Amino acid sequence: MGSLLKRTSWLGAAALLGLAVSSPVPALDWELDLDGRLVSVNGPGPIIDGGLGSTRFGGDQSGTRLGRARFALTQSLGEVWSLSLDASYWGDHDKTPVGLTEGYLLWRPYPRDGFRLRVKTGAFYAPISLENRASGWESPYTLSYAAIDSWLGQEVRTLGTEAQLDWLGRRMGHDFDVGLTGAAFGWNDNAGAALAAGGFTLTDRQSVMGGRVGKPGVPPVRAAEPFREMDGNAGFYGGVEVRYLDRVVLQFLRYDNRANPGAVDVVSHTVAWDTTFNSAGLRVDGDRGWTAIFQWLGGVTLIAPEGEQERWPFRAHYALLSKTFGKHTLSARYDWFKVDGYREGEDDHGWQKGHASTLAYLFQPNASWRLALEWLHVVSTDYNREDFAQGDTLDSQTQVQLSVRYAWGSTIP
Amino acid sequence: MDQVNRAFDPDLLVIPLNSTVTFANSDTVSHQIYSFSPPKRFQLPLYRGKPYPPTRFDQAGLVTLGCNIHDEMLAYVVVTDAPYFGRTAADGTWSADVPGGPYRVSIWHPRIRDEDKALQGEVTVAESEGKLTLRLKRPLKPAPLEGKPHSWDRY
Repeated sequence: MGSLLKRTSWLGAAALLGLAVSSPVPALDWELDLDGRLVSVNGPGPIIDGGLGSTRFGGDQSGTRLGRARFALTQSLGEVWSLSLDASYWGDHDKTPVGLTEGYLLWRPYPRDGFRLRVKTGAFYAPISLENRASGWESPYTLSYAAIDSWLGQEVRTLGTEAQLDWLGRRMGHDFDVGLTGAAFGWNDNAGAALAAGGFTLTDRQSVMGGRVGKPGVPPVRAAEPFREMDGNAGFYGGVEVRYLDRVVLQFLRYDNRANPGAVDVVSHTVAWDTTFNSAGLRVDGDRGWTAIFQWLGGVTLIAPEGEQERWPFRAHYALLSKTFGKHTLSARYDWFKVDGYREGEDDHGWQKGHASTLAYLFQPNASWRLALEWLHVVSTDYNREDFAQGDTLDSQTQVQLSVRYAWGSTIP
Repeated sequence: MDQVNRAFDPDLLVIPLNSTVTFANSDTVSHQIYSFSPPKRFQLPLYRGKPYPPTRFDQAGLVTLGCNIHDEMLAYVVVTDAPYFGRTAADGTWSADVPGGPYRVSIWHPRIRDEDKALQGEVTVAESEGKLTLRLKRPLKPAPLEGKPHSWDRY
């Protein structure tokens, strides 16, 4: 009997091998998105162009604009490996016209004994944002991201390796899953430069690898290049996430880029920004299409060229409430944010404080089309506007956007 | 059991011991099935269509299925050695033509919170019929959310 079973399983294995070879698997998934905008906006120009405005567009940018042109692909490499690339063009004056927002290799062995391990290597987002859950790290609720996520998209990216270990309790009859995340990374030693100079903004403009925030020669942001390695120190983050069924996500994460605040690049005259922060978030997906998100982030970024320390503690939080009715989604979000500045002998060096209200309506008739209308109003005080732009410190900015997005792709029916 | 629109269809099968299930995939995307449940640990590597021979379930118990690519996919195969079994109707009823005599009946559902002993009962089927009503004491777990776009939760 034993030998019969053994023989049968060998035959089974042979059959599997034969079938695996004879049935090619579509290993490549791709997606192309085009997002056009009609924008009405007042106030200062955007930070990407060196301005001290708080929104994606500003100054004289009312009219038709490109929201994003995006091409993403995921290629399976054998059974448990895959490669993902996400490239975007934003229609503005970045250093590189097209760039990668993410590009990474993922190893995802099969779960065993209730545990699942996933390891990513490359460039990707740390698991912090609870609103940017759609492909392309976009929000399915609003066009503009919350201040926290706008900053993460602008200056924070993992260029390194992240491991995530999940205990899959829900697959064993429990109500909870628990996940632990840890990462080691480099090339994020300038995270904080644009935040200290330009403050928090509300935008959906994600920085690309090799790209920059700001404009060369235009202070105070100048050309901040967030993805640079200055000192050879690896940064780390660690986090924990608890999920209740598919309804509630609670997460904490601590990030430290461990940059040496005394490091200076003599060629580009840039300094390293030592940035640490904690984040906490709660997302509840309820019945009848309701979603509520609360997120908090607080930390500090500092520099100490030639031993003279300047530091900018920062804090931000938001609450978002969203309701989906079939193909229609209505969302409202309130953001609050603050960046302090401390330098010896000065009390109010470059601080920024503000709040923002966002109302958005999204209509998604099918997987290809999305129509969105968003009203965003930001009120902020920023001393750098007076110091560098000869403007008022207090500014109130309103941006209204109408967006039409079309998506093609192998996974879009 | 098929996979349609990134969900198992049906999401619950009740099958007799030593029977087989064919796992098809009618989606345009590939799936990768796994189970780490003790009654049947197995994996079906990345596939579309119906390339694999049926999978035999030779131990009684609950087998939870997932896809290693799409985390939200979840299904159950209940492998039973009971002589009579089935899936209840939407109103929670189930009936079977059985010879007279004493029977032990047990029920299961992924959303039930009650203890196991509350999910079993005994019934004696007389010449005409026997009837057993099991009433849950605790509310069900919330139903899985529907309508979330598949592109969500990659992050």
